[in-house]
Amino acid sequence: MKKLSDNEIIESILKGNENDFALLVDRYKDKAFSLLCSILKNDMDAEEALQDSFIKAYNGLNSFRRDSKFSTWLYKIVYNTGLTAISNKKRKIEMEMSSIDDTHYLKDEDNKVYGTSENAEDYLLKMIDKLPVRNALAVILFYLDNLSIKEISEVLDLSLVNTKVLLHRSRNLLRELLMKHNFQEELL
Amino acid sequence: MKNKYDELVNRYIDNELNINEIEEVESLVNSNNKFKTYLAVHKFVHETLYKIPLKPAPAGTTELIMSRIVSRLSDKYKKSYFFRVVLTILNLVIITILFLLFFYINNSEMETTNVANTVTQYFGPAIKKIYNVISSDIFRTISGLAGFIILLGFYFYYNSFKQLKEKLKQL
Repeated sequence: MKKLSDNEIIESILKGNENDFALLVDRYKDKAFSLLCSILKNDMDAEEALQDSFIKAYNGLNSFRRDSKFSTWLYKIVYNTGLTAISNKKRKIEMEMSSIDDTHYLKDEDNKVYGTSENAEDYLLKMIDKLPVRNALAVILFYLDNLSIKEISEVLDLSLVNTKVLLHRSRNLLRELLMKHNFQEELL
Repeated sequence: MKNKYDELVNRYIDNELNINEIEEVESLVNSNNKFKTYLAVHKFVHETLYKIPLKPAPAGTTELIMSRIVSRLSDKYKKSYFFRVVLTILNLVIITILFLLFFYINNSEMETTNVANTVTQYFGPAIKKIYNVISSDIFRTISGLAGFIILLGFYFYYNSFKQLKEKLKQL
């Protein structure tokens, strides 16, 4: 059976087949949930925000202009819903990478993760969740969702240059952490 | 090391270097062990990040979201349904009044006249004027048209109710 494109599904929903929205939910719920877990660091909050994000997307479907991909538009909603959830709960999550010492920020978490990691890969993948929110999101959107730098910049509402810097910093940070624990000996 | 080569290595990973810069990287790999290690670890980071596991959304998420959407839709339809009921009742009242008027004017002319006379006695010339208007041909034509429009309204109302039922069935 032919897999319907996002735009075909949206067209059908707008024609009155509301239950076709389930196809979009099925298609994006896991990726959206991964993003929300990175933002909220809590599965229960992420689940609630996930539902809210899709309801918002459904309600705003009429206003979705097809000049960007549906996924980019949806992830922007997911990101903003995540941020709202953070501000509602008044969590103290540092958002601005430029103002903090990356390694210092991660120090406590890093030691915990290192103690429970089997190898370099395991350590690295666990550390993604411990990165500051925007860094983690840039990495996930780029590597997991295969979004381009331009699309990530739209989702995170950053300039192209800043998005690129954010992604580079995230990689540099992870590399520094690996080298700090001498994982290079395992890799070479 | 960090500041000096960070940008070069990142651009190398992203295939953004020109030929001269690629040659520079290759020469550094051959001559500088620290850079070689640095690049190898960076490549490892880049390749491993493609293995980020997808966190599956909890079971039943789709059903939960769709049920929330359906309940909102039902509320929306219920609201418009309420107004339709009010409009229908109003239509019925108008039709009943028109029917009664026609009945008095056409079938019980004597009685109607008596009633009108009595009414006129009590409520004065204003009511008499209204009575004259409603017993005129123009009024009959207009009320006939109004009746037709109301019937048409009934048809559309019935049709939209059928559509609502179908939509709810689909969901």
